[in-house]
Amino acid sequence: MSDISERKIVTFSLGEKMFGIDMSVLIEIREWEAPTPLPGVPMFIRGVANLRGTVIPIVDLSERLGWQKTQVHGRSCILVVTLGDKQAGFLVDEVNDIVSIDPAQIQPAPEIEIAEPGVIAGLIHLVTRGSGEQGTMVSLLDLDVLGVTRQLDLAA
Amino acid sequence: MSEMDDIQAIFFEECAEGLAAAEAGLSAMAEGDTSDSTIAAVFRAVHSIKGGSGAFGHAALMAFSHRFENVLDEVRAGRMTPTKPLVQQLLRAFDILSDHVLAARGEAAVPDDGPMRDELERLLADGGMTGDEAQEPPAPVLADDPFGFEPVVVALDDLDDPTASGESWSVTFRPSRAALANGGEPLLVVRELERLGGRVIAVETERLPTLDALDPADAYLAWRLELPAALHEDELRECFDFMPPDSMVEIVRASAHPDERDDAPAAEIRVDAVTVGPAQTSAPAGGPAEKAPARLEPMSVRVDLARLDHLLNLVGELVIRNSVLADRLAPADQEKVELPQLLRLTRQIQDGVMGLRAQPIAQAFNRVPRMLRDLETGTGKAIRLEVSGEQTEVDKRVIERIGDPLTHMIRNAADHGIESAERRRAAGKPDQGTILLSAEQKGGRIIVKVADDGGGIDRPRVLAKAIDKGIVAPGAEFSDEEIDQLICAPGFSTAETISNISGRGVGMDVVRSNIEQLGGRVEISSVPGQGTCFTMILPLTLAILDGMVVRLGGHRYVLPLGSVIESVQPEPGQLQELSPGAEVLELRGSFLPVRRLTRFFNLRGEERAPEDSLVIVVESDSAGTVGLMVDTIEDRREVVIKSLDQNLYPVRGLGGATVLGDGSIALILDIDAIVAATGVTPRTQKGMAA
Amino acid sequence: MSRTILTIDDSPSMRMLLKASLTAQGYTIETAEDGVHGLERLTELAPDLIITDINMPRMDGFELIEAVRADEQHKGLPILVLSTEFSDEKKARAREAGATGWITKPFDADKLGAAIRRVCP
Repeated sequence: MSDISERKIVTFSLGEKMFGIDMSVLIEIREWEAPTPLPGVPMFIRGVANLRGTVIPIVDLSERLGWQKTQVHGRSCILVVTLGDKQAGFLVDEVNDIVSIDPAQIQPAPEIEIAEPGVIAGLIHLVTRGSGEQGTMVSLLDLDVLGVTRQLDLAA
Repeated sequence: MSEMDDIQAIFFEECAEGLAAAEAGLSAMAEGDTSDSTIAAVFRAVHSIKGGSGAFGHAALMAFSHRFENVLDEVRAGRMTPTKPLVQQLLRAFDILSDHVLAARGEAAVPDDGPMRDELERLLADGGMTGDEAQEPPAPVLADDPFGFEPVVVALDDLDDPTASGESWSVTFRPSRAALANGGEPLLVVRELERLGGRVIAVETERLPTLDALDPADAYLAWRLELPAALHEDELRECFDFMPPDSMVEIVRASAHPDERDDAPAAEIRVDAVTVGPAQTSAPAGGPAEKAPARLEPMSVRVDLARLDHLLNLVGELVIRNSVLADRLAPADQEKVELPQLLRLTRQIQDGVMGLRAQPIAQAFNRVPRMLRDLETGTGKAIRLEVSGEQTEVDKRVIERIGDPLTHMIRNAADHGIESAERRRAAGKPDQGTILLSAEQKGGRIIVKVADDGGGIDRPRVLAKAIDKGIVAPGAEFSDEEIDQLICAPGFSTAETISNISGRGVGMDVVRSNIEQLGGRVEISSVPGQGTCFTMILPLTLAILDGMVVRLGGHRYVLPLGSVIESVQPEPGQLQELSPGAEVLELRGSFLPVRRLTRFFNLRGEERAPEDSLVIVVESDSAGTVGLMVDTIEDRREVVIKSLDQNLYPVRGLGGATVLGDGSIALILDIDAIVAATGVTPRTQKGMAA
Repeated sequence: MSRTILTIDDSPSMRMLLKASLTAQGYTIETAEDGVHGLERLTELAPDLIITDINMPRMDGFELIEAVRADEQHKGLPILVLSTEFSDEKKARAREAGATGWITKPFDADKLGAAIRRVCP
């Protein structure tokens, strides 16, 4: 029986930085496909896409966090996640790996320039595929903070 | 105990239905309908609430509903006349009952019903009630009650209990003929006594006739039993509860006799045999109330809303698959009878399932009378409510979300709309103000109106307030309609207008956004001195739309077919620009304002020349006939509307999205919003026809 | 073999409550929502006992009892009234109609069980 205090996270990159989200919120990982654009919505909402009959928004995660707009390329992916009772897809640069982490190893989030304080739930040093033996710092994201609601977006 | 929770949840639903029925009946009575069936319906509803409340332990609710029921019983039996003042009292009692139900549900504090309880007592006393009926429920057991027992029994009076004496009981029981009637079985009573520890000592058979004279419906035997001393007399008596009064039952203390055959009762304390009160004749007092005509209530089922939504989704997928299938068939095959039959069947299922979610908007309207009664008291004004179209069916979600907006608008009408009686008189209006609440279905929309015959919107004051709050700059000029809309500006309402009902500041801005989130909009019209009307326009069905699929800039969009009049391919030069951004198309002698959808969707790079485009002429609610320019028309199709606010939020200009057969998404256009959002107000274009 | 009781009450929550309570005591419970429905089920089920409310739409408890007693096949069936009312007048009326016994709501599960045992073997 696996240790329940372990958490599985999926790691991915936005630009140079590595991030991770909890596997439990991940519905699926998709290849990039241009979504249907929406009028009059913030730039980071690229549009909507069809998830097995449900219409979900596709959000440029980097832009949403206040950084550069993501340049789409061959390895771009969409992470389809549940946020509370809603579903959304986040455009990321590359999906990296799925790893188990020990929650005890999570360090508090640093002060960095970010549009949504609180979205970084913590930092953890991990060795993942491609990180080399030294490993790398992965920022754990709490996507619920990014709830794609009207109130939050009015500020955009 | 979760099963109990489930059952109690159902009980609360019944309470809600009962309250609705009672209110409807009382309102009818207030209007003068005091027929037996109406009164009986109110009685039954309150009776039902009382019954369940006891079972689930809601003492305050039960006590109040019991009193209320007593009064209603008097009215039902004709012993109290339902005069107008009495009915008003009953309505107020009803309001307290509602509050009790809310308290029982844990949603509110227990109401202070002291004054109303006293009032009900007074009514009962004045109405010439027999003391019997006004008892506190449940009454303690009366020793001479032969026919039933109170399960909530008063504790025994210990002084009567001679268990100290250690003497066992001797019980003699001779059932009468009547004991065998009505399915009774005296032997079961004997068994029951045996179960309590009793022992049959003797069976008296001397009355038993010969076989040929034996009447199977008659009783001839008697039993004598001995029962343990430790038993309470009441327990013994209970066993005979259902025995008719003319059966002989003797329960006495007997000194313990080892001799089983001793049948001389050595009674120290003789307890009288059970007797009955004055014999009731076969005509029950009061006579059977005129029975409500056997109105066959349609049988109904309770369904979990989530299941309905799931079903609706599946039906939606079915519609899409049908389309895909139809597309795959060769044109010759498409004509074959199976396909139209399949499509027709699917359509019927669709209609049926969609109909399941639709409910009469009366559910949302029902809270208004009570609200108005409270407002009348609070403002001191007399206001009449007229409701129409309450049977209009709307999606359940609309009912859920329209409550707060309605509340706010009614309150507005009562507080600010309707003037005081003096001012009304001075204006030549009747003292009593009127609020009209209506709902109707029109052209694929639901129109809900709240109108009052008050003084109208005080525009100078509104403008001054808006300037004061910095919502608009001083000195700017506004049309009447624009000033009216200022009421909905965020920040317009302040602490002064915090609603008692919700306890928080509910401004018109929140109302408007609530309605917009449902995919609708709010319109205001007001005439000074005459009154104000708020109109809420909501989409009718949230599921399936008959649409025209068009192409624009590489994407597909859907226009509601109901709004489409025709399509026109402009000739070179037919499209003229009157001023930057305002284009018109001359069509059969008049000028049609045209909107380029590419501008609305920010697809300027993809704009085609007008001659290579199509202008779809549509009817909009706000701006009359308008032309929308698209690239091409693809086809006409029934599409399943997927709401954008499921995972995102409502986007202005869109009525949702749909998934086409190939899996791609087409956005559904909200014509009115697009017309409103693009270009100048078309009113300025009218009257320019050649 | 467990006894079958037909419970008749127009309140779904009361029916459920009764069913839960009596099933726990080992009875098989069938339900009906008013007198008319009750008579239909009576023919269908041939229960061992009927427990009925009084105030119901379409056909009330008194009428139901009278109808059962008038039926050749079922006239000997034990019938208990379970009602919030408790006036002597109503009880007498029930007896007139042919009820075997009367229990007042709110009911105590044990008392109800005892009452049933007294009319139904």
